[in-house]
Amino acid sequence: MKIKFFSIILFIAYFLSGQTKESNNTESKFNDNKFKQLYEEFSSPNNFRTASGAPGPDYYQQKVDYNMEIELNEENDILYGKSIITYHNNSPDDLEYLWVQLDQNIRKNNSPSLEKNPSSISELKQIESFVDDLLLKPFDGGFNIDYVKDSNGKNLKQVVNNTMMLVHPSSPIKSGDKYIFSIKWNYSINNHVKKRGRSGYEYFSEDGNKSYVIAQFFPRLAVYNDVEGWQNHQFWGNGEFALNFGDYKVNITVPADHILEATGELQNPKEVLTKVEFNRYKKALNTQDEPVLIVNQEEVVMKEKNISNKKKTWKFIAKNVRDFAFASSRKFIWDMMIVPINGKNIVASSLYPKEGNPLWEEYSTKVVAQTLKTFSKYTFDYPYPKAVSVHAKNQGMEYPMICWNYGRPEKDGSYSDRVKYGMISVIIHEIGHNFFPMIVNSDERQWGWMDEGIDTFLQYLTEKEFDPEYPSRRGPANRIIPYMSGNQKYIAPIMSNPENVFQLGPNAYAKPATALNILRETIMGNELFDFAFKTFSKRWMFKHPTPEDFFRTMEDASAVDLDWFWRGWFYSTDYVDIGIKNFKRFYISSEPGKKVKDIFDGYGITKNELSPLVFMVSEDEESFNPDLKDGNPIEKSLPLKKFIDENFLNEEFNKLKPSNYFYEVEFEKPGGLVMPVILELTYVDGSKKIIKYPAEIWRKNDDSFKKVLVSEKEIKNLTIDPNEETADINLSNNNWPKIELPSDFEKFKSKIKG
Amino acid sequence: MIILVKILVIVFNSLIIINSNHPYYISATQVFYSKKDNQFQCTSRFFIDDLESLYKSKSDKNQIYKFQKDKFDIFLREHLKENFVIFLDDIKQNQSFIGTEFSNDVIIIYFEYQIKSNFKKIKIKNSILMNHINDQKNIVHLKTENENQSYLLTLRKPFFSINKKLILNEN
Ligand SMILES: [Zn+2]
Repeated sequence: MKIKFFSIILFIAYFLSGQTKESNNTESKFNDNKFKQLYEEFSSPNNFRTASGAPGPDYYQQKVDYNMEIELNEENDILYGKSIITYHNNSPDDLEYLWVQLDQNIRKNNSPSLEKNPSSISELKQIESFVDDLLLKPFDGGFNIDYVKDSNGKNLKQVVNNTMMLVHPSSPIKSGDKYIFSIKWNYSINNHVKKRGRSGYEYFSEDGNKSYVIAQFFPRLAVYNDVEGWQNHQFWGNGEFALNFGDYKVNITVPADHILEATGELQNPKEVLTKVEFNRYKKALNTQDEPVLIVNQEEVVMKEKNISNKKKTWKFIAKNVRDFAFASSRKFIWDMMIVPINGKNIVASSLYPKEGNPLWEEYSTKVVAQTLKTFSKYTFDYPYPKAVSVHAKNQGMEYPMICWNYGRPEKDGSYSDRVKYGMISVIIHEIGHNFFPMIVNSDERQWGWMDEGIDTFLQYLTEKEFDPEYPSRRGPANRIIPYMSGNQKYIAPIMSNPENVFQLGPNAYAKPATALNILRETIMGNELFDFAFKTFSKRWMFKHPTPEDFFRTMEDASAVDLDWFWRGWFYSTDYVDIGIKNFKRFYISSEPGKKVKDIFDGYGITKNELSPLVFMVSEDEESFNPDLKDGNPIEKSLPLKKFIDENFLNEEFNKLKPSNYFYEVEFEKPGGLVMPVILELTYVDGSKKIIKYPAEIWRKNDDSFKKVLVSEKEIKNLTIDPNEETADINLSNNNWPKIELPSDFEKFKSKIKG
Repeated sequence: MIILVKILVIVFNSLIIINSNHPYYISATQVFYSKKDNQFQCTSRFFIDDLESLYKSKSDKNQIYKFQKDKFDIFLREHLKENFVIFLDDIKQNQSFIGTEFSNDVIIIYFEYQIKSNFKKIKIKNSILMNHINDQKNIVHLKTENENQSYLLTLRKPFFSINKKLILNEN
């Protein structure tokens, strides 16, 4: 008979657990659990890419070497070039044709990219934009291809499709073979300030000079790999670049009074620098901590007035880079120093017109040094010999070893904090791009977030190392709330092509950076995250990872199941909103409360017929006996008292510090994202305790769950996510008892009025 | 690359403005009707550089421009008074300027109106920046405890009017 009573108790307990009202749901469903593994989203692992997220035994990548002669004609703003290209076919496939990227063609006046967005007449327009947009024909740039020839000088058949050129080699390029061919070309250089190009010149009307930041300037081989075949998705303007690693030998001829920096190591400093400059250059290569000026402002002011009509050729060699860019002007001030990274001296330098001072001489090169240090710490030792920051108006754009950055003071040299921190942030960001995507070479044309998001995340860590009080724009969880709580019509998942998202800034930069920060601080912890992240960086150094390689490695190297996190944060537009629905205190009693009594009555049994039981009743029950609140709670249940007396010695039991306070808290989740629940308890004595429930708490009920809290002290109030680390978009349900949060308006007003 | 294109995320009504390749000139103002305080509590968000460029154009050309927050605030207070106007039953209401604060690229301006409760018609004009930047679009969210309505104002029509009962669901 005992058994029967036991099962009755289980049955009653089941009824009490709140399931009573549920009708029998007969609707079938597919597995839409938020913790379902990402087998359907991920492609199957194979011999090229393993299930652990590493390059597989058959992983390959093509290598493309360039030998180029370049000449910059300053008078006509035309760039002339001749490239000899050596294509190494490391793929298992024989290639019948090659695709070559002609990025400059986006500036042809018939480029489809000019028509990629809808437009409408605005009945009122400022004169300048009216003239630019409607009266004048658009700038006509783009490549003029003089020839494409094989190594015997025979012309090769080629067809241009917008920004891609199809080249037919004389015969198919066999797997394992190399193929040498050459291209001669030129194009008109655009004013990058006018239409916000990534490359071009800025014109300074005061002295009539220009500064050139030149990139995407030569026909570049498209990537051929195991994921895309030929990655020949057209260049529309937003999706950046997918490029091959290779070795570069580049000679650039410019006016003799220009100062020039580029990807790679300068081979002939003695030929292109004056004696004084060369001595300073050598000194800089032996100086740490404080940059040495190789060309100073005074000298630049002199050069601006006396323009040279001679020419000089700067010679560079770069090994294992995915691209090449250079900057050239007689307006450039140049400073340089070395940064030791794990025993190796890296050259950090900056080029800037005098218009950038005094901001640039003070910060640029030092920020370059800080970035190399912090990024190296979290990834791998910076493998290139140098890193250069060049000042270009309105630009923030990255290339191997060199990048363009904005940040310009007023004419009198004064600048606001906004300009200063904007400049420091953009330098960290663009120098940081050396790691992602220049070395960990993801496909930017397809996945903008992979380099931008990861780079922005490390940018945040660098800013904090540069200055713990740094006013970071992106990174902290609560900064992404306005975006994630926005109108869903204008939000796209992170896993979208950069051309197709509504807001590229939050989509490819801020949200993935914040997600990684949350992963590091809240979900995985620094140690597990840092090891897994470093593993990913090292595995894919000088290779081409996909998003899956990243997702897989982070999990494989940490033993933290992250499929739910990638699914929610990267594949959906869900947001976090977790709240407290209810909080109740319970008391020990000898007598059953009303709910239990009703069930007993229904079955026609009394408590005396059952084995001894402890009853718990909540204060809000009708029949609640207030006496239960006073005295020792254990004494309130005779069977419990008896049990303890029989099984424990008195002082032994007291040493166990029995809990006297029993609570039940119910959580709700109006938001779609599952996240760990971080609960702060505040006791009546003012002390606090944090409890963290794993995200997996939501795996069987996505809407709500209850938890029991037992404590020795009375709980006064509860707060969810007290440090705002989960990007919870709605804080009004995060407290118990509920508190009215003042509006931003009220907060500001009371701050002003004191 | 760093995205320089301006994106103003407007929290109040979850309305997000999308960019194209050209910078977008936009602002958002929430006008909250606090019935218990008989106030319109206003919070405006503008891009700092847009307002700064207006300020520069109005400041002395013979002097080298220097940004000073106190002077900038005085200038804003005047510009706001002229260009953000609330009429109740066609009577212009008195505006009190509370202050400004920066949040990255955005400046937030706080101001309020003490009003009478018995009015029938609200008219709001917001022509801030419009004479300086012709493409400027100012969004106004008129908010009560349980209603939220949005209006897009441009140089062609920088104002809107509405009956009080329509936002308060009064009969
Ligand atoms: Zn970037």
